[in-house]
Amino acid sequence: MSIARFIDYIPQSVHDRVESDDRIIGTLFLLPVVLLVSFVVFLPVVWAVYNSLFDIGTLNPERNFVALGNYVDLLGADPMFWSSLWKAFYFAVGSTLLQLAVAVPTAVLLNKELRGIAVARAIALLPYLIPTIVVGMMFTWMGHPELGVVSNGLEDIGLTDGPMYFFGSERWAMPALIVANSWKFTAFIVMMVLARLQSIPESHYEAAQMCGASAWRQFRDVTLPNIRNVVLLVLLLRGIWMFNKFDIIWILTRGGPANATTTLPVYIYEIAFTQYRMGTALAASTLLFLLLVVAGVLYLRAFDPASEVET
Amino acid sequence: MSLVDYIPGLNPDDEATKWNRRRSAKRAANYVILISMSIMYFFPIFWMAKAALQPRNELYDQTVYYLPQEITFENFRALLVDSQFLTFYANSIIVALGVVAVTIVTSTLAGYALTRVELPGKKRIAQTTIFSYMYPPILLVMPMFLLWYAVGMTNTYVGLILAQSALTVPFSIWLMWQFFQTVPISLEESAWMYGASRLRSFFGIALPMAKPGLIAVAIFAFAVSWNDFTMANILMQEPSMRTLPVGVLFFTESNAVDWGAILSASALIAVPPLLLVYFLQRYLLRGFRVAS
Repeated sequence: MSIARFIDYIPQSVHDRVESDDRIIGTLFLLPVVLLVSFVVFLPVVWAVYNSLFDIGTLNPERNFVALGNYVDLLGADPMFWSSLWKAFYFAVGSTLLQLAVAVPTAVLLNKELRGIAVARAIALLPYLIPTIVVGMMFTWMGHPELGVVSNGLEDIGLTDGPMYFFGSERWAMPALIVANSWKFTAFIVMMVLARLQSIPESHYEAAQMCGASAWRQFRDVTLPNIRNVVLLVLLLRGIWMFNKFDIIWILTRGGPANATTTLPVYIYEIAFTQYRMGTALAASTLLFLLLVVAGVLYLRAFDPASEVET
Repeated sequence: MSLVDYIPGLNPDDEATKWNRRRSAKRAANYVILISMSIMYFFPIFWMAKAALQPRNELYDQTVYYLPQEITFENFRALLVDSQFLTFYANSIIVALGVVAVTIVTSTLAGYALTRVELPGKKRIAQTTIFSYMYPPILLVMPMFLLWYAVGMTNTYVGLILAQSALTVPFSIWLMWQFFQTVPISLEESAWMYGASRLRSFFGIALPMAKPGLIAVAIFAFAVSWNDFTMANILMQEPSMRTLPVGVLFFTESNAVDWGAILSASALIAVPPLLLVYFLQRYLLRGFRVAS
């Protein structure tokens, strides 16, 4: 690799000269990131925790110290908090499982050497590039009760009679949201699993075929052990992200109908911007954040992404 | 068939044909699944593009036309002439370019320092940065709104650019960190031999060699900014400052029935990220291969 190393011997003095500047240069190079992350990540988090101890309005600078009052209200006297937490779980688990169930077979198929596979790979990754607002508009249009293709299609093949209100019915809104959300984000899991699959040597499959293993046995004994780790990682990471999803839910249903899709992030937004109780919203954010820290520590313990990038 | 030939005790011809037949049946099944899968992923995009080109009377007909009977650009014309769509588009582009600039500068410098320079506490910095990738936008934007409001940064480009950078920078640092590890240090060493300083070898050698990584980071930052709804929705509440996602949602409220305009707007929003990735996919794939 280092041809230069063979051609010229690099004297220690050269290294010493260069590395004597390193402390200054390293600090200078890291300074922008440290400043930025402090200002846009750490300061807001600290600010949120601090202000969650006050009773403050969203656009009103006056504040009264209430200690843990906001937390007590949320945990003890607010049934919406608990039901929105439960709905966030429902949405997260439903989305993650659906995405995984579709993504793993998709990735296995896309890993095969078939004609036109490059086009199929591109198509499968396409949804991930479609902005969320566009996904929202597409699915609102397709799910439109009178004009939408889904409602009309179901009626044409005789499964339903009359219009179906997907995003407007308490029963169907959440499943419909999960489907719309998964349409976009399945591609992310496909990408990760496909990358892992491509690193499995062909010889493993050949060996399995020699032993007369069926397609299912090949999947179970060769593919599955190899993708196990990436699947676990995706389960946790995606689970956390889906748990915190706000945009697609707000765009498609606004948490409705009758709060059927008010997940915790949506509820936090409502507390802050329709009830104008910023202190309470920040207390709810802090609770959500604590949940996240627990999940994050588990994630770092289990996978240690930093050690991956050490050479 | 070559395999079967070498296994003793079997009738090679029979087994070989059976094996071949089973194999072609499997291939056919694979294609059927592949095609239905592609339709599932592609249909919503097709359906939006089709609606954007359909005249009003077809869109509002209770019969569903799977192909447009007549193609029109009237929806696009109405959108570009009669609405604030172009203002939103300009806002989105300004903010996205700002986010790309901030992300490239910070993540490249940090990625290089983390790879090449010995510093105390380096690993800790990296870990916290990666960890901050897990903060969801909705959690960050609540306190940000209070802070930005206090210093007058709501409804400003700078405010939104900084806010969205919180979403792009952590992953980008990780990407650049990985990328600089693939750039051999020997080239820099030989530059040092000729008297170049660390700074000189960074700009002259390491940076040009990390170009695919830079492009991957730029595309990623652009896509995140272009996609962001949560932060823009809260930090840009003034109508003239709205970016596309927020603008279009308000637009649907006031034009709740004009599906032609809504879907042609959606189609135009989807175009830039698709174009970008189409033209730069070679670089992007190289970037992600290092990352995965």
